[in-house]
Amino acid sequence: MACVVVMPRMGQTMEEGSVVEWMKKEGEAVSKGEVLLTIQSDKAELEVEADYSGVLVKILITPEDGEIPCLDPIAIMADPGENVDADCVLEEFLAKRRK
Amino acid sequence: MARRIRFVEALREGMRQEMERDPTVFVMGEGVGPHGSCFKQTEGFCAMFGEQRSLDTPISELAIAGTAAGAAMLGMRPIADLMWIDFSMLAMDQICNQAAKLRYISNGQVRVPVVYRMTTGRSKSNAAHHSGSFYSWYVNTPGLKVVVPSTPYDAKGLIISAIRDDDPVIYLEHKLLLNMRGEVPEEPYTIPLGVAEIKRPGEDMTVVATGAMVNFALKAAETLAKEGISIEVVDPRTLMPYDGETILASVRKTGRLLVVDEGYRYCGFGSEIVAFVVENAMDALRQPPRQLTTMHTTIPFSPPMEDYVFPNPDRIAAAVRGMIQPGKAGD
Amino acid sequence: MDVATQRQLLETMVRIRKAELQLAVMYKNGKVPCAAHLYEGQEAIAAGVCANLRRDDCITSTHRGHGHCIAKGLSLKELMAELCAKKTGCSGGKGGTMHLFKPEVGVMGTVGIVGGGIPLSTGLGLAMKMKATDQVAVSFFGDGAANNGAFHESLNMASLWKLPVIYICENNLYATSVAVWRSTSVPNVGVRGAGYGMPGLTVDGNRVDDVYEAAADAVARARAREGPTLIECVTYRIRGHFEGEDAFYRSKEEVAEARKRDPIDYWKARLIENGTITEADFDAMSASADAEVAEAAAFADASPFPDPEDALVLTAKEHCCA
Repeated sequence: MACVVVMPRMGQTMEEGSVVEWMKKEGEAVSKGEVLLTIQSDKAELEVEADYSGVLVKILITPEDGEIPCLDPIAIMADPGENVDADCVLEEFLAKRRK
Repeated sequence: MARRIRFVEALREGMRQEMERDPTVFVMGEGVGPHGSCFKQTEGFCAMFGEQRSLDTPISELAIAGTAAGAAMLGMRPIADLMWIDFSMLAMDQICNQAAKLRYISNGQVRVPVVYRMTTGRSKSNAAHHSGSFYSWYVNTPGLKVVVPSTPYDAKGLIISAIRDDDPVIYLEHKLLLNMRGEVPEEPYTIPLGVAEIKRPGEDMTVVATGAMVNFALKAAETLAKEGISIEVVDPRTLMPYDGETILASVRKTGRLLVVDEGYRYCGFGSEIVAFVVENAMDALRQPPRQLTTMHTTIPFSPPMEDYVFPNPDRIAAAVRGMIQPGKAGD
Repeated sequence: MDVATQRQLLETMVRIRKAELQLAVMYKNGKVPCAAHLYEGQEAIAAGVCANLRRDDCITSTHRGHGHCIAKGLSLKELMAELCAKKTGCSGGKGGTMHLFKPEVGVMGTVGIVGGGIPLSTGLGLAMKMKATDQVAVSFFGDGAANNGAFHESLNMASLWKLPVIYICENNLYATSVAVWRSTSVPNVGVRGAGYGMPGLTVDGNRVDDVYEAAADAVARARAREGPTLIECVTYRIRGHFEGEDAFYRSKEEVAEARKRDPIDYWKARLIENGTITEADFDAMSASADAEVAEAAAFADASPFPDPEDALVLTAKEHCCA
């Protein structure tokens, strides 16, 4: 099932983070527990593991985007072979959050 | 004539009667066993109840307080004697972080029916580590109840109520009161927590006083009465929760407030009562309230210096005069 | 050790591991408002000790206490809901990870003050002795707490009064960021038992059979009212002190080496070797745990937050003058 990957909150004082490097490309398969990307928190550069196994469908935030708030969307993942409208998934996520 | 016994005897009787009535009640602390406690509060308990219910401990205040709280969680009703309020500082984590909070953080799944007893206040040249009155720290801690009896009658009624209460209660025994005599009924009785007593009715000023200061205020009242000044002495008896209604009713009657408390003024119990009255009965006050407390210094050893820093009946009388007749006989 | 117990130990460790990893994900995604101190790598201790306990035995634990609570019988639903600060949590959202309680199954508190639970569990033992039951109390704490005054005062008292308490020191080699050899003059906690007149031993905390056997002896001793025992279980804290910590004070190589001593891998291999389980059995165990964890996470997600006014429910009205 398609889901949104967010900028993780890695620590009680972390309010924002930035993407340092994506370890996977769009369309690539990802296993749960694999390092998906590295981020820069307020304290350190940290590896972020994938929470699910699937395909990295769309990258929303790149290093060029600089710092974004924790828990904001950074990518969309889905099951292999799943037909995904990335914009729809993102909009649903943001709508749920606004409630 | 009604029986007059000493404060320490009244306290002892209250504990003994509860221990006879309820097998889950026991005392623990340094020297509470065969020695009968440092001021004989548990004299005879070992013979009556055995060493397990009159349980001598090592000098381990933190573990005394924590073990008592743990035993209370499983349905015992410990009376933990920490001896001096000054020593209780060694037990603060178990009293204030653990015992005080366990009921709340468990969402009511556990209760902690423990009584922490400790002596408080000045004596004679007890100096820096044995003269404290830090109970405002406990008043300031949610989850704790705090009582400070000022008479033998109150001592017995309040200890019985404290033991029967299902939450932690700090019970303070003022060292200067231990030998005070007063009328005490033989049968067990309770004094509800959170109920003040007007120890002496009066018209010209409300004097809220705690512990040994109650007796100092009563002595001052005698002196002032001869000068035509009538003070109403209100003894909260329970400092948390305190009986705000009785205090407000008194201030609405007299229009003036002096609080006499042995704790330091800064964030002290006296400051709390002044703030409370100003917030709730400003319209009734004829003049700003005042406090008379121990001076903000470490308690010195030498008698002339020690006497200087504490409130006493003369100072109380002078403070009252200073408020009622400004410009005459200030302190 | 009978087959049922062997399986139960593996199952418990797998359930704890999966629950903790799920909580790590939930924390990253902002569902857990508090700092999370996770138990990955230490599961053999909670499982091995608690397998010897009855429902009416009691434990206290620490800020790193989810494993103990799960092993003692706290449901994953109530655990996760509490961590997500929901009304359906075991403490109604009032406690959080460091204040988990479930007296019905003997969970008498995880404690947020290092060493704070040790006197409390000593007191539980005192009550058990005074009430003349045959319950026992277990005090879980870490290498950090073993240097705290509460530890020393409590062990002395428990020994003096022969209290039915088992003191389990989980030496995971780090107390927050400070390695045990930098903080502890004699970095062997087991030897301290002798100083307090009780048996004190050190076992490999990643071998659940060693933990189980040592705990079994200690529990029997306590139940027979022969007194307390101190058991140091040496393990390794795989994750940081808290989630999101940059644990610069130890190397990646050290952590990788420690992963080779994974307690679940060890026990799974033992049970396959001795024929107690097959790979398929393990997969089924794993799937079952996954399902339980997913259900608990969904429950926590769907549960409501407490009403704001619930903050004062256990506070007397007269204390709330604003």
